[in-house]
Amino acid sequence: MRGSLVLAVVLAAGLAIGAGVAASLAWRHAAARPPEIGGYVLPEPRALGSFELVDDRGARFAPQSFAGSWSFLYFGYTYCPDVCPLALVELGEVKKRLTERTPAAATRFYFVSVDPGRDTPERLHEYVAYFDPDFRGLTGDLGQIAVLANAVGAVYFVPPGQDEKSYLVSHSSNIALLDPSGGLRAVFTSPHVAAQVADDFASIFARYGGTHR
Amino acid sequence: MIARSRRRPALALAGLAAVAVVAFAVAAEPAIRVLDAWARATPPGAENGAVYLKIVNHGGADRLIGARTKAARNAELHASVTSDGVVEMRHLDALPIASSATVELAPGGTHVMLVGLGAQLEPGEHLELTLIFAIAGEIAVDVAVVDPRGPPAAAHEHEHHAP
Repeated sequence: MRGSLVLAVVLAAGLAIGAGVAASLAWRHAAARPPEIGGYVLPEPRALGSFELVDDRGARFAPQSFAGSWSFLYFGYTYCPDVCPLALVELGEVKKRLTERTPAAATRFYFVSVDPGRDTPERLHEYVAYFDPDFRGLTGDLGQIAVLANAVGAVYFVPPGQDEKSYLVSHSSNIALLDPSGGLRAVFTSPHVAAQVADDFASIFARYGGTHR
Repeated sequence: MIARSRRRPALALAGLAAVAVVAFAVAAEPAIRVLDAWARATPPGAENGAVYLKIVNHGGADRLIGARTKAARNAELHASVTSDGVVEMRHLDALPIASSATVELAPGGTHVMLVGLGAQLEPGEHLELTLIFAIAGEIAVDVAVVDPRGPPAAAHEHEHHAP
C-alpha cells in the first residue's frame, strides 16, 4: 500500500515536471515565432547594404537616413494611374490609423520610384505630397534604386514593345517595413487593406518596438 | 346623342393605348447602360488618370473596343493584373461584355486609362467620355471626378479637432 502511494507520488511528480518542460518549450517556441501578418515578418531585421538616393526635396538620402523610424516603403511611379494612387491612399489611411493605434511608434512613409527617368524629385514631391504632406519620395540612379529594391525583395521592369515616352512599368505590389535600425523587418503582401496593415503593424510593434527605444 | 358619347371614351382609350405603345418604343431601355462612372482626381502634374464604371448589358453579347475623351490625348482599355506579387498593366484590345451581364471596371483591375491629361483632374469636375462598343456603337458617359482621399468634409472635420 505504502509502496504504491510512493510510486503514485513519483509518477505524478514526473508528469508535472514533464508537463512543465513541455509548456516552457511551447512558450519559448511561441515567443520566438514572429507574429502572423498579411505577409511575412523576418525574425531578425536585415541590413539593406549601401546606396545613395535623392529624396523628393532633392536632399541626399543614405541607408542611415531610414534610422530612427519605422519606414513603410512602396515601389511605384508617378505615371501609374491605377494601383499606385490606390496604394498611396491606403497608406494614408494606415498612417491615420497608426496615430491612434500605435502613438508611440515613429513612422515614415516612402514612395520609391521605379521610373527615375521620368520621376524627378520635383515631380515626386508634387505627387506624394498630394496623398499626404508627410509622405516622402525617393528617386535617383537606377542602379542605386536597384540596391534598395533588391534588399527588400522588390522587383520592377519595363515590358518591351512600348512607346518611348508613355511606357508603363511593372512593379512589386508589396509594402516593405523597415525597423528603426533601418533594416528590413516585414513585407506586407497585396492586396492591402489599411485596417489589416495597421493591425499587422501593431502586432509587430508590440513584439519588437521595445528593442529600439 | 347617347351613342356618340358612348363611343368617345372608347376612341380616347384606343388613342391612349396607341400613344403608350409609341412611348414604350421610344423609352425602351438601350441594350447597354453605363452607370456610376468616375475618375480619380489626380495629383498636380500627373500625366495619366483612370476612369472606372459599370456596364450593364440587357442585350446580347457585345464588346467594348475603345474610348475617347477631350480630357486626354488617348483613352485606352487597361487591366492591372497582380500575379505573384507583381502588378502589371495589360493593354486590352477589347473587353468582352457577355449577354445580360454586368461588367465592372474598378480600382486595381480593369479601367479606362487616360493617357496624357490636358489638365489636373480636380474633385467636383466632370469630363465627357465616349465608349465605343462593337455592336451598341458609341455611348457618351458623364464622368465625375472624385477625390481618392475621401470627401473633403472629413479632412475639414479632422482639422477642426486639432488643438
